[in-house]
Amino acid sequence: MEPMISIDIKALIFPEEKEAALKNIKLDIKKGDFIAVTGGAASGKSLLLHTITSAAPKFYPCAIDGTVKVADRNVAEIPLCEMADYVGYMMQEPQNQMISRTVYDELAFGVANMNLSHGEIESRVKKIMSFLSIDDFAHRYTDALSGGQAQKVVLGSILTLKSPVLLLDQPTAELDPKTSSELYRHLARINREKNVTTMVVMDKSKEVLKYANRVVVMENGTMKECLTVDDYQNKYRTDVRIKNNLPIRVDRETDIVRLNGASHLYKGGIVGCRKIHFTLKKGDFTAVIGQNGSGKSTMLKLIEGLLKPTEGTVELFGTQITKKNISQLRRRTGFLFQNPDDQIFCSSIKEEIGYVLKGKACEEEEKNRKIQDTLEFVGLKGWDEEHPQRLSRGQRQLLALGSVIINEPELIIADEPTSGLDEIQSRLVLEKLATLSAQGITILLVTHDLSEAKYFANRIVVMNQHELILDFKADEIDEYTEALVKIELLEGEVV
Amino acid sequence: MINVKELDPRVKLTWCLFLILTALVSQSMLLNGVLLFCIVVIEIMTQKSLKRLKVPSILLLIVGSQILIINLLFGRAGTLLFSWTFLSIYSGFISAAIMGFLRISVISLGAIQFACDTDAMDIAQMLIKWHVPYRYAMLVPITARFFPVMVNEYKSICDSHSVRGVPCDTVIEHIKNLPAAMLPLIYRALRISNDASLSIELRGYGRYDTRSFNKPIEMNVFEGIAILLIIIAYISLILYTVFL
Repeated sequence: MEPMISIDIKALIFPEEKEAALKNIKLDIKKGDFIAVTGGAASGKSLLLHTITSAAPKFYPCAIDGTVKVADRNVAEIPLCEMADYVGYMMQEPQNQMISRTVYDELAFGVANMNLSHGEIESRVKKIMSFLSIDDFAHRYTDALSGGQAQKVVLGSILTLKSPVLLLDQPTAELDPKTSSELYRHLARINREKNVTTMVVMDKSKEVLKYANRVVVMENGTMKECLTVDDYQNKYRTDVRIKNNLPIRVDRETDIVRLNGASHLYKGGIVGCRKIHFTLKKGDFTAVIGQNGSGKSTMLKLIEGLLKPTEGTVELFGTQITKKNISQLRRRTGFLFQNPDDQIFCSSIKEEIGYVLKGKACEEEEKNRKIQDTLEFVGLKGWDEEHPQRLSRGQRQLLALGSVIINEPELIIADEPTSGLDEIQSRLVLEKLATLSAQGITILLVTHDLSEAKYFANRIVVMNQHELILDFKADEIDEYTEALVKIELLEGEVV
Repeated sequence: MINVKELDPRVKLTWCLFLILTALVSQSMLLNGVLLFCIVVIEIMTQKSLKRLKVPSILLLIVGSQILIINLLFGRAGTLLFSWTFLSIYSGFISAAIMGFLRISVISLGAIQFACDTDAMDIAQMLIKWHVPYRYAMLVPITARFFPVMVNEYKSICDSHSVRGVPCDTVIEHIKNLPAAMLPLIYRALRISNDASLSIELRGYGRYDTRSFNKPIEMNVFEGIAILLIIIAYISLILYTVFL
């Protein structure tokens, strides 16, 4: 039987690059296969998918020595706009892929491009809505969807095209465990019931391994190996998340953050968080966990003074936050955003790190020393004059961390800093936070990943449906397994 | 509540053009006042509130005050009321300012109503019916979709800047911070447009010369009559202005 996808690439080279971005890849994928693709940063995982969609070289110009065939047709001979007959492609950020204002229009977009009749469009869209259980929000605006809902809509818009192959690039990287496993369950069902060949670039979550039948391991642009799931799990059993062995010294007498029954309502009465009572002691490394939309980010924004409480008060360093003192208080805190690109705005790494020192009364020599020390700490020494966008996402997150710590903050608030990063990059960021914690800096970390919370923090706070429902020591997590399973933060996972 | 969104976009465009052209052609303060009144009545009938016009009205009042000052300083209509060195004030400045204010209000509020009450996809279909290739016509709904996305991106960039000590609360602070905010915003915009264009192409965009729509626009008899009546009203107005 002819394979569904046949990849035989000797080399793929981008213009003005000496090294091949992909080399010596030979892989045959059968119809109905469910393949997980894994590997380190810049190992060529996404590029491998792009060779199948033919976006490389048609969208991303490059030279390919070799052939890629889908359903026995060489993709080089198929125009990009006809590739929908062969493959459906979904990327990490759903909001970037949706181009219609309403969910229904988005689902109909692809089939409408096929010039199908109104009746056929309606029938296909309704079937897919029912299959993915998204009938309820058919008429909602796409920009008002949560991450999980948006991913389902993107998946639906691809499924309406009835492509025999589905390619997904880290589809759950920014989703919480519950939404992520729901999406994988849908993918498994599509693979099983519709016999759709599926290929998923794996993120930190190992959920996909429950459904995959083979794992492709990429390294430095080559296919290192292609294993069965069991072989992969045996071979790569070691958890790259190493426990934080550095000391966490908590000063029980000093409050850094205190929320006294703080609530926040967004415009239109939408609840952000409700009656939060929370105290963060000096030196604490606290992890805040919860599903998407549980109120974690709202709580952080209240602490940072980006939002005002509609009820209750917020105290930072023992002072209630007001409009007058907010800039003074912010000088003592550092905020690390989920997306490092939000906070990077200078044209060189050195300038980015030293941005907060501008206008500060200190010698130029002293400033340079601080910048060099910070660059060394975040592992970017020697990259001073490079443009930040030349770095990988993990390195950009470290750069953002550097730009925060140079100001010597007493409190660092990190809002899902490992989201979208692979395990190795995540570990680098978390280890830096652990080092800072050992130096006495108070850390407030928001994460979806329960193991990050368990291995790095000394205290875990759980948010659910806009309320703070659990607050316990990280090493007591096993006692709370039942409660965590109940709110679907744990799903049959052994912590 | 009348569902004005269901109306054919061509009817709404004809009405919008009627408002704009009449405001430009007419010299009558009364007629412009009547048009403004019509806009307000339509707003109440379709939205049951004037909330949507609140912000534009505030901006129009600011613009109106500027028109008043300009007419006060430079208006030469009517009789001379006061003169001192270079400053001469004529009696016609108030009526000229009111006329200017009414015109600008009718034009801008009429256009806002059209933009808010017409689905971007309907505008695209309208353009396709006028033989604009769908690749270009579809830019309207795509822009409408990404506008709120870019606003959210800008807000999150401002949040991250303000926590790094760059204040972003007042309008002046926003303007001052614009150069720093633009770089990440442009980078995000490029990335989004790159992802979006690949995504649409892989969903068959541009494969055929035409594409179908899940909600095609069709003009019914009443809508056709409405367009005809608006055109007749406009021609009558022109004839009235020229001959009487």
